[in-house]
Amino acid sequence: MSFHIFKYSFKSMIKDNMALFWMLFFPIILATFFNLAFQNLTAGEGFERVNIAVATENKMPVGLEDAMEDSDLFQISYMTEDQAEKQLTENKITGYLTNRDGLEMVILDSGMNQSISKVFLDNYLQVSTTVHGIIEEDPRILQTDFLESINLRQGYLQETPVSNSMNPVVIYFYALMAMTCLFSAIAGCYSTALIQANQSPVAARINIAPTHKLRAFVSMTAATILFQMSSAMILIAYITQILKVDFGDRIIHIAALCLVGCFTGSMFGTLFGAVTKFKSDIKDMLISNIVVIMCFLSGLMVLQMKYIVQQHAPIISYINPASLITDGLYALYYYDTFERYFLNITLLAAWGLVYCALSILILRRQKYASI
Amino acid sequence: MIVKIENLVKRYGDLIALDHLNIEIEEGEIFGLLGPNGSGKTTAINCILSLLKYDKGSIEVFGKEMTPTAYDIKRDIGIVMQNVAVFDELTVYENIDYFCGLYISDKTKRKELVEEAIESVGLKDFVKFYPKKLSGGLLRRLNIACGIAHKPKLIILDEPTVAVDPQSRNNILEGIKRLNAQGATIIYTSHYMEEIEQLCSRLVILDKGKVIAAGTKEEVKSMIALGEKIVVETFNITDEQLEMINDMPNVIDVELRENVLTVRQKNGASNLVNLMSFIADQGISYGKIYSELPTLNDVFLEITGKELRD
Repeated sequence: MSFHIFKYSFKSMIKDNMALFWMLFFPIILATFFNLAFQNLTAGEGFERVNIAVATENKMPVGLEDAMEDSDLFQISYMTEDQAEKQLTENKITGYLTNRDGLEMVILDSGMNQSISKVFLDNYLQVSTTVHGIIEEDPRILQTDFLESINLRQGYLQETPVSNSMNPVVIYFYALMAMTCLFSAIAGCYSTALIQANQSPVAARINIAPTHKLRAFVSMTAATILFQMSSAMILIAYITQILKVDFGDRIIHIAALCLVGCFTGSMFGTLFGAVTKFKSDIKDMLISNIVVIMCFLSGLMVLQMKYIVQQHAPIISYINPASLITDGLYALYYYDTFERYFLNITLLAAWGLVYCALSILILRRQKYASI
Repeated sequence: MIVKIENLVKRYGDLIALDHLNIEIEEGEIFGLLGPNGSGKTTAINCILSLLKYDKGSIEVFGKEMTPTAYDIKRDIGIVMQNVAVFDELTVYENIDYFCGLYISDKTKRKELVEEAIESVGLKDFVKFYPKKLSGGLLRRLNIACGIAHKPKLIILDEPTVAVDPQSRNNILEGIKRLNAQGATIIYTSHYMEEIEQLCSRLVILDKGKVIAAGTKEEVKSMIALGEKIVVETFNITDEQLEMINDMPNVIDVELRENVLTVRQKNGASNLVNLMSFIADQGISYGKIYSELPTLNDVFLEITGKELRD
């Protein structure tokens, strides 16, 4: 490897506004948009207690209010029936309970909260009527532990820890990470153009110099990977520290996956640059489109696409570097074990090596019929 | 012998770009490759540099066969491309340092060489400029500096003055002479015959991939019948008198265009005296009179029937 070529390749990438935009700022902008679009989506998934008023004019059945409290479903307030009626019309409460001619839930509209309230009350009435009936028929049953066996104070909500929850939104951020890593393909393609004399005058000048092609190639690729890896790390820091998206605590593993992703992306670009005969501008356009398609198949634009591909064409998941990166990150986040992560990172590295070997075979001793 | 090309044939499909090209370039000379656009100059250069594969023939540089991996040969070659070949994202200094670094790994030595190259092309005030901020002429100078900074023994300049202002052109031509004076052998391609005449000790003229003339300037010019051109500004010459001039000894042809009479003549001891005597005897009014030696364009014109810049 030539440190001289490495240094200037890295320098020219940092100074290239287009490269900076596509490889760093574009993913950051996209992450910001994702965050804006999805933050309310997850916030809306939290359960808020249903506001219910209890009319104070009439006495409520013993134990009803305790059962409502224990259910974790209701936020109870006490007021007169008139006040409750007013608050109901102003939509400040979902409904109110009265016990004028029997227990009754007064509601105005239909909806989730109203259904919860109604189902709870119906359940309460059904159980209490049944119990009263049994006791009237055989009062001796009170001497047994029959009443203790009836649980009217049941909790309806189940809490699950966030780290084990299936938060689908992070898949978008994983696909974005995959895209950032794989954008190294554009730089890889450009580096290949620099060692193919027929691609540009600069490439011809580099080919005339007494520098081995492989040495120049390795130096440029190393610069590409470092640049893209830096972009990926900045993006991870931005997503986790600024946008506060939970990526879990396996940062070393995430970094390793990104590093291999940048390598494979770069090699994919190199191979594309080596096998295609288009001019540089067309190659750049095509390779960036291919990367976006890969990311689309891994769920960047449509979340379900990842599952559709896994269901109907699982082979694509194993050959698409974007899917391997996305799935590797996903495995790190959702599973306690590393098996799936290691499978993904190994496949990703294997593809990178295949691309690398093919590129070297093609580029080796390449001579040109025309320039 | 610095460069030896034997029977070089290069085809692009059915088109023969180089047709049995034979060239020998001695150490220390400025060798000119002259020809119109598309004559095969750049193709010949690319073959010498082993950038292009050729169909037939052999190329030796510094007495060794030139191949893409002949790094010991490449180390002593500098190339100035026809198209500017620099990185837009790097400054003038960084560009020269980058390309020099492909040849010279020692940092201290490289720094000296880069500064020397910057000085020699007159870019000292522009070292921190990016190529996009440079004028066409300054960009060409940067292009040259990138090609010569490592002090090569053989420098190939492929039309380095295309689209360059007169000041930069003079700077470039003077720089080439200096490089040659310092010991570098130079191959200079151009379709500007004036530059070739000014710079080159020996030359070949190419047309359609074939050498149509080769040798020193004098040798090449002696290949044609034309000895001199006498140009006279006249005001009242008749067709009959033009016929009489045409019949004079050594006269090849006569042309009158907008009161300017051009008489093309073979070499002769008293061509100008004879013509002047005739004009005086005939009472023809005249203004400026001067005699011109044949140019390389005249050589090209006489051999191919067309102008170099056609």
